[in-house]
Amino acid sequence: MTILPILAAVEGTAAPMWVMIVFVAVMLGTYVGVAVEKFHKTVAALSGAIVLVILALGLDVLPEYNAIYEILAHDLNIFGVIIGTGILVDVTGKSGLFHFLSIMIVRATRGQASLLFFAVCSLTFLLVAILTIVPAMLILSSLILVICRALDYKAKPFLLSAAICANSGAIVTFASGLPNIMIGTQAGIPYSQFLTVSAPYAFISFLIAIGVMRWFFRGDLPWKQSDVEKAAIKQRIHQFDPWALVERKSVLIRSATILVLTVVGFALAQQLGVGMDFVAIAGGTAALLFAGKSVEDSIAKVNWTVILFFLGLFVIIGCVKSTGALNLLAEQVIALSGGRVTALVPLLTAFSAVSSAIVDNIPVAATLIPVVDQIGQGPTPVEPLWWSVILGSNLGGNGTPIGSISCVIALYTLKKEADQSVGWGEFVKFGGTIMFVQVIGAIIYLLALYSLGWIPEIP
Amino acid sequence: MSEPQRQVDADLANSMDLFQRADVGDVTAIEPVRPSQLLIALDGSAQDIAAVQLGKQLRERFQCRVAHLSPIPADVPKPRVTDGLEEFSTAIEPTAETSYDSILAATDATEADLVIVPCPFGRDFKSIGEDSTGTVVDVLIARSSVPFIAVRKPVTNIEDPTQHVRLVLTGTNPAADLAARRAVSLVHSTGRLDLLLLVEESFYQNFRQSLSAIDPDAKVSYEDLEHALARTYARLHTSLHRTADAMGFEYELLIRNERDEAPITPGDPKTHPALIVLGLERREHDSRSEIHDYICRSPHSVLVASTD
Repeated sequence: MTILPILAAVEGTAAPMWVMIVFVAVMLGTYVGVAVEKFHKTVAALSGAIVLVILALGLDVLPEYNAIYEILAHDLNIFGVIIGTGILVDVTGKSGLFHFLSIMIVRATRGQASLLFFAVCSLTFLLVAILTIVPAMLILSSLILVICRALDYKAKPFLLSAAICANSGAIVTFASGLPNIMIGTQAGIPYSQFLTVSAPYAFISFLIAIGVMRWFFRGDLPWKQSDVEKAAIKQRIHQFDPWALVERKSVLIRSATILVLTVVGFALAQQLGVGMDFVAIAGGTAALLFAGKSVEDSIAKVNWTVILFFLGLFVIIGCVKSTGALNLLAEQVIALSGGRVTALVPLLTAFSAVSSAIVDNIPVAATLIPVVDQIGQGPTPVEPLWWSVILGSNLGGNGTPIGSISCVIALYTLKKEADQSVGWGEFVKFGGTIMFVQVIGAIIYLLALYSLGWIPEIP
Repeated sequence: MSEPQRQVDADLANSMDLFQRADVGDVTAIEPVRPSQLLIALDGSAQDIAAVQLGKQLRERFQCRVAHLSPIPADVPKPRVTDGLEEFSTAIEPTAETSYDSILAATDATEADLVIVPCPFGRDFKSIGEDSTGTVVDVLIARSSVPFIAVRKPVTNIEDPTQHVRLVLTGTNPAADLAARRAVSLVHSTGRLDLLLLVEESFYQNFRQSLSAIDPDAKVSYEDLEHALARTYARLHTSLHRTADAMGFEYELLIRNERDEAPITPGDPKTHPALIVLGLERREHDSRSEIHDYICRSPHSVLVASTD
């Protein structure tokens, strides 16, 4: 493509082409800073935001400073969801609920390698769906290390499988992953639509991951064990008692109840006429009131780093959007695809997956949100496109060792606790294969749903 | 190491510690040791009312036999027996010159398995001060073969102390299981039992300094010692869970350090349970000192269960 059609398209937009190029360069520079972790990613995002605010005011891209508040006003609900769920997850975590459930499930496998492998993968899928990736992976990584040491299994197959399955768990619900929360709130996708559109594919992608990992690690675990071996490991695994992890039973029950009610609240938020942020904050407050041990500790445990990262990112995206650059990008995408869903779904899914494998999926989602929103202003149905970005940006993390925080945690844990390294080549062999199959599957799945008319309209 | 890595390390270590704590082996419920014969020692002090009331409550709950004696000098007025004590208790005459010998002799004679004694015995706070437990309780700490409850403060509005019982452990304690059996036997089925694992400031400082002397680069935090204490008593904690389920009372594990929360202060009785249970390893000087200290500081009754 030459630059001429783009320059032609720019005519009549808010800012001249060179201003767009400068703003996009700063945005991409920030993303590079986030990706290479030369700086802390939050510092990189905030630095980029400060530079762009100065440029935007100096170059009259923004009419006045108050325009920044208008940009951020659209994103306040995201902060509410992150704060509320952060508190809820911390309080319920401290009740021992998730550790308790983990040991219960591991005991049910009687320690058998094949069952344990399936249980660990399923538990990862479940916990990520409820807790998001980071807290779930910390629980799972520690569980795997302790159980593998007790049963003398290699930790590597379990840790890497958990890391990969985590990205499938991240697309189960609205609150399972940060890209979902961002896209869900910006696009106004009801919680229930996640259960009908992304959750089924989350399960399919989970099965793909398990199948590939089982084959990849076919020689690393004792998949077939004799009756004598089974009896010995059963006895050993039953030495673990889940009640040792619970400080107070009534708090455990209250925590579980509040968590379930919050999930129900998410599902009914639209019918109740409230936002997801309200439900999340209400759930977090209820947890502090009825199950919290230390209010200060729980509030401090909210991921303020992510919130500040988002703050910087939203200002960057808002400033770039104000130049008209993202609208221009959307127009080029429409031109490239002819506005056809059959072209846009593969394009957006593949682009968001590949870029998420290299950069953090949050900036990828943040950048694509205004683009997809702009495409949706025209005659093209926007719903399949939102799902493309959700599935692509989450599953793309499987492609490389740095593509997802679950992989980063698993590899770090493996190196630190088991002194085992996994190189890029080895990781891409299974992770890249899984990502490729999952992304192709996601494109086919979304196009099939679209052609059948099964993708619900966003109210 | 970057800040996020440090956070991941810390969270991972905490979570691993928790899972390792679950490796407790086969655990069963604790068998309670219910009192069958009580001995109440009276000294005419204001604590008598609480001692008698407690004896009456335990008798009604456990249908146990009760005996009482007043081993005080002849020139001191005999205590006014309160709350109809003579209706449910057998009077025992002191048989020795000293109060403590009389109490120990009566314990043997009646085959008592729990003694209730005002503290300080036969003295008031004005004469010996609040920092002393008095000679009688000192001797019981040193010589009593059965558990005893020291009733420390004169209580006028008496509630059932077995509604909220707290077992306190501050380190490895051979008497922990015995104390736990006593605690679960006393806590009411509608009441609540806490297991407080407490890292004391003095213990932390001593440990830190000793470690530093061995390895100047070594570091230890309050949290490290809290985790160590929790792992030491993970089996007992699990047993208490099972016992609570079997007996119906509510149970909670509390893990604290003195820096964050002073567990017992005489000036704030409402914030602490009415009955504290401690395990005494009689041959350990530190253990004896700890019991002495707790009795002095507690605004409420303290049950001491000992091993030799």
